[in-house]
Amino acid sequence: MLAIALLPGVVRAEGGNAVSPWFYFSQPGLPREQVLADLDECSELAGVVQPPRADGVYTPDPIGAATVGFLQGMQRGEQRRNMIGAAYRKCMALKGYARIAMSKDEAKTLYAGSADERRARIADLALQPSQKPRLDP
Amino acid sequence: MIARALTSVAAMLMVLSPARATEVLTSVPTVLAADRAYILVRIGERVPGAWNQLMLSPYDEMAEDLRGRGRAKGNPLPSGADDRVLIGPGKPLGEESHVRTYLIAITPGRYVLSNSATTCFCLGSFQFEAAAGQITDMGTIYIGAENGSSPWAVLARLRSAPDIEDLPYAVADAMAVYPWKEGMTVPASLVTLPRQPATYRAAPRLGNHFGKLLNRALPLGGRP
Repeated sequence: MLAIALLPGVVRAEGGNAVSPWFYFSQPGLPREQVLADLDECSELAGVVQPPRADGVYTPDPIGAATVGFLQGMQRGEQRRNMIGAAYRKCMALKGYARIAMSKDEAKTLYAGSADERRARIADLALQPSQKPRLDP
Repeated sequence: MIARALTSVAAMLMVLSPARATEVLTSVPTVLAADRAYILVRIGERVPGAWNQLMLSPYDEMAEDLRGRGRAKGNPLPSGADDRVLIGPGKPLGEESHVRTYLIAITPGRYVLSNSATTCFCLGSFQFEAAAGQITDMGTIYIGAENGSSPWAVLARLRSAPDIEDLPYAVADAMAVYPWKEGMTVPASLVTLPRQPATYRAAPRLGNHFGKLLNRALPLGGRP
């Protein structure tokens, strides 16, 4: 299973959010096991998202073909990260989580350490009451 | 002895012969095949001039996943059965008021409305039984991106976050399912054939086996 902590692009809003590029999900009052299950399910569902296949570009020159392939690969990677981020946010929103802005330093602290440590911290933070304004889902 | 051997071979061939695959019908058959299920479905225009695709997948209600995949890996389909039914490609039976009507012959069984061209309804969709020898009327289905581009009021009000709407391929589709009711178009040529409205039940979840964006179908009838 793909843990959320292994997907930094998911929680960093690669596309750039107008309010904050750093955020976490919040839903105080849930059992902690439920939060962990929701994190895992959304990671699993969103982690397999694939962008549509780009049409091939014919280039007779092998170097040109390699360059086109490299650039298409880079673009496809960025698109995939964006789509995974969007899918993850949708999944968490449908499960009732609010998206809350945080600072870059808070994000660094949240995502430090091993995958299990990050997962536990993300769940703990989701359960804490927050007075911060909500972002769009 | 020889006759018994031939009978055994014939029986084996019957078991091994693949079921007929999905067939989009462009005319109404005079008689329905007893070993086939038929679905009648109306699909609304996606945006003016562009049409939707909807995939149905065989569903394991207990495992809450597509048969032969993920949590339902232990419940594979028999050889030759439809592992997916695509609605949208192919010539419709008719088109009226920005809605196309399709009649499709499929393998009988339980199906889930699994995904559109861009989006898996993995977080909640609908399942129904397509019975052999009759037409199951799925009603009317509207699908459109959650960015206000849909011409249908039920979908046009749905928006995504502005940063998501700015990204390519990141806006999920929404889906509204309206079960059959009086007043929906039924081609005159199939009025005399056996036809039952689909009995929809919630399909709480399914795996994202085709790598699509994520969403949940709107409640039946598009109610908020």
